[in-house]
Amino acid sequence: MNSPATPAQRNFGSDSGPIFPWREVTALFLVGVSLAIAQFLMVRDFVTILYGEEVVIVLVSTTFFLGLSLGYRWSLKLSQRAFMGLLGLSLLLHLTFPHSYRFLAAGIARWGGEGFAFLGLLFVYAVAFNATFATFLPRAIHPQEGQEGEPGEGEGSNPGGGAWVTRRLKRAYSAELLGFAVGFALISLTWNRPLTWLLPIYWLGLGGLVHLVFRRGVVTLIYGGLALLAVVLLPYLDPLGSALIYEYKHNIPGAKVLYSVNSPYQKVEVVENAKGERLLYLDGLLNLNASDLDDLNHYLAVLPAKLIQPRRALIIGNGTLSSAPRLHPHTRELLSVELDTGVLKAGKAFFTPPQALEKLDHWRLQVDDGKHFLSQSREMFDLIVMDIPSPLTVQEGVLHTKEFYRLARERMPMTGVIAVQISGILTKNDRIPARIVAALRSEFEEVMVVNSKKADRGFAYAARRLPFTVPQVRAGQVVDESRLEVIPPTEIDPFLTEAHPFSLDRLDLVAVRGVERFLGRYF
Amino acid sequence: MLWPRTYGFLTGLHFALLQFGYLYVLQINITSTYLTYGLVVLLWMVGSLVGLWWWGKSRALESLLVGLGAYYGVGLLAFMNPFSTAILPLAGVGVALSGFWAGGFFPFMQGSGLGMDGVFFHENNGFLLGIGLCFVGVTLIGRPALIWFPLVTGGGLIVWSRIFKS
Repeated sequence: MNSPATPAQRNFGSDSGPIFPWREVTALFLVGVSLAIAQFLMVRDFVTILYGEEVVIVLVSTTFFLGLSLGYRWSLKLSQRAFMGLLGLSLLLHLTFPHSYRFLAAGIARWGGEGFAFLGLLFVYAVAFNATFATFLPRAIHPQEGQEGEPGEGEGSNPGGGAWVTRRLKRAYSAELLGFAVGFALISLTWNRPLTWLLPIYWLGLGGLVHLVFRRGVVTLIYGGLALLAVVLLPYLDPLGSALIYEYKHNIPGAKVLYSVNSPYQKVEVVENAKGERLLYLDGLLNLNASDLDDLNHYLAVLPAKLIQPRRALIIGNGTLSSAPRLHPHTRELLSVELDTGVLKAGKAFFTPPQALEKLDHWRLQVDDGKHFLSQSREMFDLIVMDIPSPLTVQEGVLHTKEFYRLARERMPMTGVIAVQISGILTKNDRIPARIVAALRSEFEEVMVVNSKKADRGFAYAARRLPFTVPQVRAGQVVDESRLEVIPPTEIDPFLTEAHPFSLDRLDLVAVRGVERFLGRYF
Repeated sequence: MLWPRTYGFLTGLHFALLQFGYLYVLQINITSTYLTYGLVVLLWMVGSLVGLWWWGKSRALESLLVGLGAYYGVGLLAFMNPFSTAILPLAGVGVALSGFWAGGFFPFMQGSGLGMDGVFFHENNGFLLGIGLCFVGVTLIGRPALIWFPLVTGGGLIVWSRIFKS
């Protein structure tokens, strides 16, 4: 066990005491890399499987931290033999990543499984994946019998003593932290690319871990063969697993996944159903259905633009860019601001052909956070179109707050209009549509709402002074709309008597709606 | 140290409130771009590494105070310069300063009688609770949660450090 110091050992310090074996340093580094990648991918995947309200994101994240806790708890209770056995099983399971849990989740949905089955699946994988990695660090700091570096094997004067443990802690934890940082960087390098980019790197790292821990050529060889098989099958199994989730969990018969990437912000997927309709999913939540897009774009963007004929218009969100060609003829300057490049790529590939965008001579696109853009811009906009998802996460919620609308108001002239889809039909209560309208009303003198059955939601137009009237709006309804309900500014307030405006200090519905939706879906 | 499990748990809770507090403060007041998230995660790790190696056992109180001071300094800076990405480098320094104790804490706890497996276990449990608490606080209370939560946990740990110094 006592070998001459390698460069890695020397780099880790030459103070007296047992030298921290280079294998352990490298293994912990690889554990850090793997932990970062596995945790990231699995949190994204499970959030997508369970649908991505922020409540679900928090639930999944905390479950994975629970997996870490269990790993720490068991780390020193396992004999070296048991540790190696469980590690081997866990690493084999890692090679089924991410197909096995997707197939299982689809199976649970197919056979009518309850919420507890999904939670059980999440828990099992959190333990099997994260707990395994978490056992390394305490075992490296307190080596067990039969493990390299155990007290008494080294050169230190007081192996097992306080200073000895501290030195091992510093080196082991540093190696893992550095590995985690590298894993984090690798994830960032593969944004907006399919899993076929990241997973082979991940499995390669695990192969290094197998070699360092088991130290048997034959084990490494077997693992390498299986990993190679996993890499070869990945391009087939990855879309298949995702498609099964959409077929059985989202009830989309014949679902085909055309596009699936992890953007810096969410999992972006384009699904095609048996009728050939394309659906955009963000973290497993339906963002839009291409066939509904026309009605949404009409009421949110085209109708107010037709009525205003804005000199300068701004679209915040609308990553599919589908509004731009429709709004373009009615403006002299059009700007789209979208944060997520993953959604933009999906939009250009599947929803708005690049040829349609190339023709737009006075349109430009800026990748930025909407509120940051508005705060930094010095331009004034006659029309601001808010084409963003419902407030089911804090960041989406912030874009529906009165503070945000105040920011928008500062960038609008007196008759400038902000158009917002209100995620439902406005009724007199304290739910999301009323909350959004209340936030608008707290910053704008006039708010008009149209409730469209055809678009299955309401839209609010707010301004200091609205430059159009109810009859004008009604006249602009889509052809096959049976009866458009238009609530004029003078009749808005009675709808808001129970509604608290969304504000930075009152985003409670993000949590409440998230919990309601989660419980309603699974229990 | 008295009640090292509770101390470890409370420290983990404090770390989560600080780390997620930074995230929310910067995302709400400056920008939600990935840059903000990357900055908080990576510089927290840098701070932890530095704290792990250079901040010794006797610096618990100072480290906690520096971490809290950095957090409120960044919060004030963000509040006074809304949406200014120019403050992000300074915010990064603040995050790293707060991360110091996230590294120094583990050597500090060596000899607490827990064993490092126990220290990681209890710290991680606190962190886990902190993730949920921060989300609940931000959605139900908003900015006051970002102001008061770390102050309560940090203050508690500082008092603890003074009372149970021996």
